[in-house]
Amino acid sequence: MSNDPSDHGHGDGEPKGSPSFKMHGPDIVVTAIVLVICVLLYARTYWFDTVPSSLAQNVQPAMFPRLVLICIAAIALMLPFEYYRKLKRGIDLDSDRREFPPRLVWVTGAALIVFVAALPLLGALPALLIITIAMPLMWGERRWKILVPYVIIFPISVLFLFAEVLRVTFPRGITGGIFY
Amino acid sequence: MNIDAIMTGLELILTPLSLVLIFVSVLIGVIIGALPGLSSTMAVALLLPFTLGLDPVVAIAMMAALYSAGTFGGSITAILINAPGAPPAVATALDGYPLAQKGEAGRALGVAAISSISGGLLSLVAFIIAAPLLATVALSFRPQEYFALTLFGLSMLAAISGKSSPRNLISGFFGVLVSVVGIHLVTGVERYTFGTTFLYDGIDFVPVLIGVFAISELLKQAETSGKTLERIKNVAIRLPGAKDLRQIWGTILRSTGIGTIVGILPAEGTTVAAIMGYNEAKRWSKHPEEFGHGSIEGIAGPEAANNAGTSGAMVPTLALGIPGSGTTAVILAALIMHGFQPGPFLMRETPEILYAIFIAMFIANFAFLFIGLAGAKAFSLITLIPRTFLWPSVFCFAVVGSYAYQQQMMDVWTMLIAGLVGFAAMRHGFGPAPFVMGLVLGGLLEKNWSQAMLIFDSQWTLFFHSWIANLFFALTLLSLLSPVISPAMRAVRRRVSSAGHQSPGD
Repeated sequence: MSNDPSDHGHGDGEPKGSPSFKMHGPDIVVTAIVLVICVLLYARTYWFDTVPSSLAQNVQPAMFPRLVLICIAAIALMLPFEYYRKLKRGIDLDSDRREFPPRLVWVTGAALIVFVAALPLLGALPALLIITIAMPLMWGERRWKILVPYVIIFPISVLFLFAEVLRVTFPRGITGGIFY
Repeated sequence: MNIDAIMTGLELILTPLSLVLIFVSVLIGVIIGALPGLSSTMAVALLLPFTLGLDPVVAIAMMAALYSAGTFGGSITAILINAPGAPPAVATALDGYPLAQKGEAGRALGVAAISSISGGLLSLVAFIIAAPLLATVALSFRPQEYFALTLFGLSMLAAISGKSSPRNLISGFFGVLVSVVGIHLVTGVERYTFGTTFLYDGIDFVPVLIGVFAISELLKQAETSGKTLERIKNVAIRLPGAKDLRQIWGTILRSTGIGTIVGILPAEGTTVAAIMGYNEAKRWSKHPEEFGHGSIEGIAGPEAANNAGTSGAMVPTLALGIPGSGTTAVILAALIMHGFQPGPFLMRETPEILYAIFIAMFIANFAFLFIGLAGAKAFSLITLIPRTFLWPSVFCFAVVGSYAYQQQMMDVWTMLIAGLVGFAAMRHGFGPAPFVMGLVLGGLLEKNWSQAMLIFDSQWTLFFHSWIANLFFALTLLSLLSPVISPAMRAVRRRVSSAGHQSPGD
């Protein structure tokens, strides 16, 4: 029997066998996602217009992306086997994804999407005022004595810099360019 | 040496406006470097839209200055509050913080400042000599050789800092894939445009860079609760005395050499340089037992190496068009954005940029000594800025900056999508730096591959008829296999040594 501790798995119901060939559940999912993306993008190359050989000069437009996709797919096949080998060397690939993202991440992400969607409708300054007050509040800020000056001074300064110094024209929105 | 180019470079940089802009960049760099979570890569990406109206050479010089200063800024918080503001400063914290806790924070900062500047200035000499030489060699490269070199640059992603080589490579190749979106230059055929006119010209670097570096990090910060940092009060930098200098000069020279070489290697960057600088400082020290307890050599080693790495990383970026780190990938994108053609032709057609960057980085090194001396106490206060204000501010800059680039909302959406996808990918170990390097190198890789295939009439075996290309292919293979070979060799060595212990009589 081998004395190599890696031959005995990692306990907690983890699969037994050499760490080199043990697969890790979350990475199987990641690999599957990468492979699905590769397959879809590879399939899409068949919709690229074909060009006569004389015009294409031996370089068809689909050739390079296909080669890249094949490389990605080939490397992706290594991912499920990586976790236990890394763990043996003290590297935990699950450290950043073990916990499901907290509610604040989802709320922040959604707020960013809503903000970008609202920007052309509201105009730059109102939109920035809203996000600079909404985000600190979402993240738990309640010191109004700091928050109020921040909300007033910061967006105006940023927009002044870009609109007046760098001559950028921002979306006017419903405010019709009363501000920026 | 091209005297005209040197004079033009000097003329461009030694104007009041340029000097002020470089000084401001250094100040921003030190502040950003000092703030944990904000990286100099993100700062350079956010700075891009601000530089649109500037002289391109001054714009690039500002970014180079910010890059140098950001690396130093990280060490201030590493020493004062044990929170490295930037990854290259991680090794500095190992001895800097214990020394600060002993009541010698000023001495620790002084050693860090002098080591950083010495490393930065000495490696700049290497930069100014190596970059033109490398460019001259690269001028003789044909497309197949350039393709092999670019492939080697990409393969180095396997060794870039991060937990997983395959993930780095996948990120890099996805970057390459994103670079093919748009009209194919050889045939004029649309690729992955999905019928939208917005994608005809491809996906622009700038909003993607801002998204993957700023928005992904913002969402990552939303995941972690803000911790209160304990600040060491009453700090003033104390420059090292003769005794300290005698103790660290050897370490500085050694680490400068390490940092410059590691920086020149494509994709390696300053973090690896700093860690190697620390390890070598310990290995050569007469007092290795003091490491981890406040050794000044433990501060000098990583500081000289990481700052030397910044100049080193500029060498392949400018001379070959292959970025030496994540930040130089952004600088490379800036060069392209400002209409330059990075690589050997840059040296031939606009050599003044090399000297302008050299002068800017030279000034930046002295500027951050001055800023460090004057403002160490203030920079330790910067870390007390609540994240509830810091990250909304970053978001505002990201939105306004990505919009200002071409004044179209689609760029803002591109930035946001890149950030959201980048965050999801980061959770699974796919880093933003390899992706950006792939995105920047993708165009170069395909262009040279296409040109070579045209010349070879599609006989791909002709790629192997050039010894230079073969050399780079071999290096590529070695680099790709290094994550497999190194542990295997270590295992063999372990087995041999344990076999030797178990059966001495055999």
